[in-house]
Amino acid sequence: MPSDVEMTKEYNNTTFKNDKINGNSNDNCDKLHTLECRLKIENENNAQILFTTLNVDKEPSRSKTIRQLELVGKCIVGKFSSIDEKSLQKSVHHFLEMYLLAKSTINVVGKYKYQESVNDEIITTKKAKIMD
Amino acid sequence: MVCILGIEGSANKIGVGIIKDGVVLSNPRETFNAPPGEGFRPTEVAIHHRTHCVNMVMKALQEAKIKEPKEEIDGIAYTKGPGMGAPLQVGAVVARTLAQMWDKPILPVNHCIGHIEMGRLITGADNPTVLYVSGGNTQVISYSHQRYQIFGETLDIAVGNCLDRFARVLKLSNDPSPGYNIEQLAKNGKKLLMLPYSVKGMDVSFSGILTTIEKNASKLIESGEYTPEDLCFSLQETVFSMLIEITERAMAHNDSNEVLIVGGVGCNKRLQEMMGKMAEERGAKLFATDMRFCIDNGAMIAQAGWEMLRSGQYCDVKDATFTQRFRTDDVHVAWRK
Repeated sequence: MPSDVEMTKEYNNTTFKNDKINGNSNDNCDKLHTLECRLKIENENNAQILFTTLNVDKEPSRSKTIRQLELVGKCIVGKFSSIDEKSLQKSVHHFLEMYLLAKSTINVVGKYKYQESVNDEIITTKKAKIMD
Repeated sequence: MVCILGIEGSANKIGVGIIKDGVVLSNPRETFNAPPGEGFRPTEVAIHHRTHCVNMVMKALQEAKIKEPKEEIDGIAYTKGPGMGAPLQVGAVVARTLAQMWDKPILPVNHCIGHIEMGRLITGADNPTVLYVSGGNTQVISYSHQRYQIFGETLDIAVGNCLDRFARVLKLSNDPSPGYNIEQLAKNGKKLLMLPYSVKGMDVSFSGILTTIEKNASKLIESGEYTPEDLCFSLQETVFSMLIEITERAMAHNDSNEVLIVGGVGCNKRLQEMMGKMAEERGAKLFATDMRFCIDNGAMIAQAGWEMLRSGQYCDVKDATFTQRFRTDDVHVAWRK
């Protein structure tokens, strides 16, 4: 069952507060862009794995985007906020790339099954230590 | 029996290796090659690595004849750094995912120490002075008091970076690597162009040499005074002599009778030849590996990871970050006495 990506509308969230936004916070709030995505995963175990994998990396220091990740049941909820639309776009794009990579790791490697090879000579176990 | 899967993707090569108690069971690798005259950029390299990384894992498991990875793999090693940010993250994400899938410890490996440990394993060198030379690093290293200490290093660009950028000036192919293509041209060089020789005690500097040869290359070739082969020959003779000098200085300081060359530039036969002569004159022994292990690969990360697992240096998945700067001497080498 493929997971769905649900994108909520872009909206101005005047109630959003964070340490990163200071000084003219009222002015910045007026310009704050947010994006929320909900990634649905087929089971809770995989959702937990994906959440832990993705939650380790923080936003790069030069990024203007603030990212919050939550695990809600089988859903990973990503909330992105930024005063810069381009930075917001890059963050969401990069997050989804990493999500898809981790997900394909689970899907592909999770289905790994050893195939007996007819070319055994090509695949040779070699002693790595080379004696002089 | 300890079996480690290692993932390496800090530059333009993505590799996955599996090592079991000193034996390399598999070591597939894919290289991203930019067009002639261009270097590889982090974004493009990351796309390449994302495309190939999972396939490399599957290939490594298959070639190693692993039937039940969850039972047979004991740890997941990945390159924590140093390297390019976006490509590093690809390896880290896949490693974190695998570690959780199989419920195994995760081992954050320093790229430079991966090269050193694989060099020691392959060559059997005991306590060598190490020359680590590649596109991203140039260091003279010696082990002391639980650290791989840096005795000398480049003050600006790595020697491999210098060679690669000169290859761009000449529009040489990046396949299989620009350094290899410079090496082939240099074999036919006959005339030596004098270039700046920038050794600074134990340290070296390559930016001035690169600027000099870049600035003069086109008019020297057009005038017919020098051929591209002569320029490649001259560049190699100059930068390799500098490397031999600082390595010898470190060997003298440490009273070392072994020298080990690691890193991609360590593949260069001319460098090995020059180092061999210096070692012979000192009554020391030269160790070098071949292309399978000189160039960035997953097995070297697995080998360093194997040592780290043995000494208990693994971490939680939530702490498995990556970093673009990770000094060789920042690592506590608990696995050596």
